[in-house]
Amino acid sequence: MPLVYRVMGKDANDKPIIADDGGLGVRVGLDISVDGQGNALVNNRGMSVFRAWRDISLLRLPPRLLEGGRGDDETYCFRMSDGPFIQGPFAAGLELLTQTPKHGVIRPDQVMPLVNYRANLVATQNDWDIDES
Amino acid sequence: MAERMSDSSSYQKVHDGLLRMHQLFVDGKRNSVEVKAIRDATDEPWNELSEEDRRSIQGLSQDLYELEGVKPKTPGTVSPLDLEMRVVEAVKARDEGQSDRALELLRTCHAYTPMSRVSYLRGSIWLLKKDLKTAVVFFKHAVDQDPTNDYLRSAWLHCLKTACPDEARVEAAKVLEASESFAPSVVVYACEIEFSVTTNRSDIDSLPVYEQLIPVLEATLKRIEKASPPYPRSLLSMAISLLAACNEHLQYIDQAFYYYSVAIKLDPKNSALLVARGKLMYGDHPSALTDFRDAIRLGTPLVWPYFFLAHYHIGVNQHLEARELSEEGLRRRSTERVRSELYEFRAIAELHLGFPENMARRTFEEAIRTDVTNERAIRNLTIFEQLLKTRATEIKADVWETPTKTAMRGHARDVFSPAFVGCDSPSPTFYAAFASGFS
Repeated sequence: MPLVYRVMGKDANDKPIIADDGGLGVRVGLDISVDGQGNALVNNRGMSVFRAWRDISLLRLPPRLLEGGRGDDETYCFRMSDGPFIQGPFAAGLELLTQTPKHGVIRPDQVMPLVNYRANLVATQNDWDIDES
Repeated sequence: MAERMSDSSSYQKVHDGLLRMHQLFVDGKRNSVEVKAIRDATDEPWNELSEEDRRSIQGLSQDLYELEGVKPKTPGTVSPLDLEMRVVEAVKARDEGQSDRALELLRTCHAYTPMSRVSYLRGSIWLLKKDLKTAVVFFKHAVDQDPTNDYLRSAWLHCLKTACPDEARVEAAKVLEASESFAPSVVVYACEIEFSVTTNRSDIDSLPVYEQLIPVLEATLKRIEKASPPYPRSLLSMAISLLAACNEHLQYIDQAFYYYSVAIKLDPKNSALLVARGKLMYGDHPSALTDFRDAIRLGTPLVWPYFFLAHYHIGVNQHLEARELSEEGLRRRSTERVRSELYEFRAIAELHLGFPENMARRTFEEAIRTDVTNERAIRNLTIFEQLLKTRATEIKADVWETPTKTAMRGHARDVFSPAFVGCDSPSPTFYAAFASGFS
């Protein structure tokens, strides 16, 4: 599975919070396309991830990580997996679509109800660890 | 040449997002919906940035943090002498056009005092990079740090005029309300801002502005002339140009001529001033033609001398000159109306010079396409077609309709003022005004 990074809030166990904005989750319309039946579509949208935390926008990185960073200091860089950053399966029901060599999205691996897609993302919660090294 | 901002739209989006975010942070809205929206809107553009652009954005963000009162994590210990040397080196780098290096050097001077100087220098560097919005942010900070420094206020006002015209007007009004209590440089820039507002107003609405500015400028001029040490000559020239323009709009032609002549005496190589005086007298005095020709000799980038002289040569049946001047004029930036009329002059000249009919017809059509409101061009094309039908062997010069001298002067006056030349970029006047001040 590809190694990916994402800035998210953390819970009491140092795991990413479950939230559509700033956590493990997606915002409908902005991050994921949904059809009239409430299915998450497979296109170029999904939960945004990066090859390395240093590739993340300065406007998202907290200043403790990068001088000039404009991110929220209550957010953290999480990593998951350790494979190469290439398109392919990511976790159950999920795949990584790389959009540039440094950025990609975790999208459903097939059209599925939005609720299932979100549940699949949530299921990865324990696989994420803070890594700001 | 100064390094310019990256032209990529992605860079612009992130850069603008950062400036907006800085303002929100200053306003205590760092966790606001707006800040989140900026992050969302700038994610994709950020992914497209080069490493160099990312470093530039990061540096700007660090500099903006300083304005927010956030000190860098590793302040280090640098002696005051070393700090002064770094600032001097930054000024040198800026003046040599190495703007990024200049900014990097200043980034190592966060312990420098006064902070207003560092902010001023940053503003001047962004100005050289032709990023007025960013320059304004730093100039404003410099003014806040040192509110009695007139050089700083002048720099800020000058930038504000183009970057944030509405805010500039508010600030200019404050200065004009108590002009005697501000330095002449500040008053002159405030007058320039107020004058620039008139370009978007009707003549009638603008008259009170000119009436208001003339006494302020006259009083300021006296202060500039009496000042010791003297103000830069360019500031004097700017004040006089504004006075001339105000008088011209009020139809005080003698006064306007006098002020333009004084300004030209001070700045004889300023082609914009020659053009301004030329258009004032065009049709009334032959000196106008000399002014236009002198402006062309000085290599003016302005269309006006070509436009007026082409019109003149059409009127005196010198069609070869008229065609050449129209051609030259069309190579310069101008309004649609002027371009259209230049095409018209060229078409008329071509017919008289015996160019093929089709070529002249195409030129007339180009005149109409360029400015669909140019009804005279349509009428001239009709005249042309009638001449063809009657197979006239000789075309009389007075068969054509051409704009009146008054109409030409009026249009030029409405869209051109020497006070505005260079207002979308730092003018030599601007830098000269600071040369003896706050480098």
